[in-house]
Formats: sequence, C-alpha cells, structure tokens
Amino acid sequence: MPLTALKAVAKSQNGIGAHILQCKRLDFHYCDWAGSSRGMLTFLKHTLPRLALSNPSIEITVSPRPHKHPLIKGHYMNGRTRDICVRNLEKEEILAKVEILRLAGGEKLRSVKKPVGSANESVRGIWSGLHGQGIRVGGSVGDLGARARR
Amino acid sequence: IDPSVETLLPLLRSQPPFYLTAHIHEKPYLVTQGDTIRLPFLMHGVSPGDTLRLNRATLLGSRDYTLKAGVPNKELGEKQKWLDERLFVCRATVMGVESEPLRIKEKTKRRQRHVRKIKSKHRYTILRVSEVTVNDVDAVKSSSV
Repeated sequence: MPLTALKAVAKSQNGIGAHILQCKRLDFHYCDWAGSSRGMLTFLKHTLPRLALSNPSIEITVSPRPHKHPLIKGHYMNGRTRDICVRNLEKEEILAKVEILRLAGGEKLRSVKKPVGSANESVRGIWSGLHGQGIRVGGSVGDLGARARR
Repeated sequence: IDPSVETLLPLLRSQPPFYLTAHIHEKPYLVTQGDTIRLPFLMHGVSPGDTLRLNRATLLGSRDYTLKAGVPNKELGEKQKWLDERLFVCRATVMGVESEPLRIKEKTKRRQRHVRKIKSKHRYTILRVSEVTVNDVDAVKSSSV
C-alpha cells in the first residue's frame, strides 16, 4: 500500500501565535457635488493621512462616486465586504465608523448565545458506561416497591 | 501551597491538553487553548493584537484530574475563591470587536397610536485563548522561597 497523507482541514490559528488584522482594505467613496459628502471631504483632507500612517497593514483607496452618498467599504480576509454609508456625518463620526470597520472580522453579524467557541475535542473525553463508575442498574427490591407505591 | 496540590499537580501537568475556567468580571468561561471567547461586553482600552493575561480562575483540569478553588466562606462575605495564580498561565489575544445585528424595540402604550422605536446594536470584544499551561510546583515553590 503506498503511503498517503492524512487529509485534514486547516485550523485557523490567528491570534494563537501571531495576530493579523482581518481588515485588509478600506475604500473611501465621495462625491464633489452632493452636500452629504461634506463631512467625508474634510475627513479625507484632514484625518485620513494620519489614519493611513497608523495602519500600515490596511490598503486604503480613495475614489469619487458621483451623485451617490459617501461610502466606506471594508474588505476582509475571509473575502467578505462590509459597507457603511456616512452621509451627512462629520469627520469625527466618520472616524468612529472607520474604527468599527477596522476592528471587525468580516463575519456576518449574528447574535451568539454561547460565549466560548472551540474546535478542540473535549479534554475529559466522551462519557462511557463501560469505564469509570459504570452503569448501576437498579437498587434493592425494597427500593423498587417504594417507587411503585409512590 | 496545599500538600494535595504538591502531590497531584504534577500528575495533572503530565496530561495535556488542559481546560481552565477563567473568570472575566467574575463571569466564568471554560476554555482550552485555541478557543474563541466572545465577551458579552465591549472591553475598553484594548486594540487588536494585545495580549491579556487571565489570572482569575476557579477550575483547572486535565483528563483525569481537576484542581478546584475552594468553597467561598459566606460568613466572611467571600463571593468567590480563586485558584493560586502561580499554578497556571492563561493568555488571550484580543482579536477585534464584533457587532450584533440591529435590534429594534417598539415601545407603546395601550390605546395610544404613537409607537417609539429604540435601536440597539451592541458591540462585543472577541478574544482568542493563545495559551493554557500548568506550571511546575517545584519551580513555583523555589521562586516563592
């Protein structure tokens, strides 16, 4: 029999050794004519250069999107995209929206009831009736009678 | 250090992997190495890539052994007893912040047509447990002495 490798799915290890920011690209869209882009234009002039310097791992693009509201598009490592429309916002509020996109992981928004997510097998193992204390069947005959009478 | 810990902790240490019930703001999270914790709140003052050392824990276990923190003394007003911090190491990396989907709560009174809508979209910090290890008892004792 020729030797074949075991087939295994790659496990995500981001954060265990090194950490890589999941947000890889931010697109900023603005419009020169529309009034809703006013805050965005001041943001692009005053706040964006410092933001780009402090986040060297994120690719930042700026492009006009005529006759549309200003938009920030975030691209993530899992291939998903997340848009936030920043119409009529001031530059401080736009910076807050950029922070939301930067810190996010690209996953779909969902409400998760259980806090811990794990891909590991259980540490203590699956319960077995044949090991440990085993299955105890019944007690004395008197116990059974008492249970029936109740 | 309790004598039972001195005798049994090396046995626990010989059986990786380990699990730990770490407490963050007194809320328990049972974790192993590599788990993701989605905290029910937004942790301030941290950014992605930061490493946190979780030092509050009540349970440390392997396959056949479990180290428990003691039962709290209610008369003395103790709410929770913790494990000795020197016995284990638990590190978690901050991964980022996730939001829940937008929730809209409608508030209204009876026989009143006006309905008020309250929007909620809470944000939650995500941690990745990068390390759960048990320390050597002899090393702990010699360093404390």
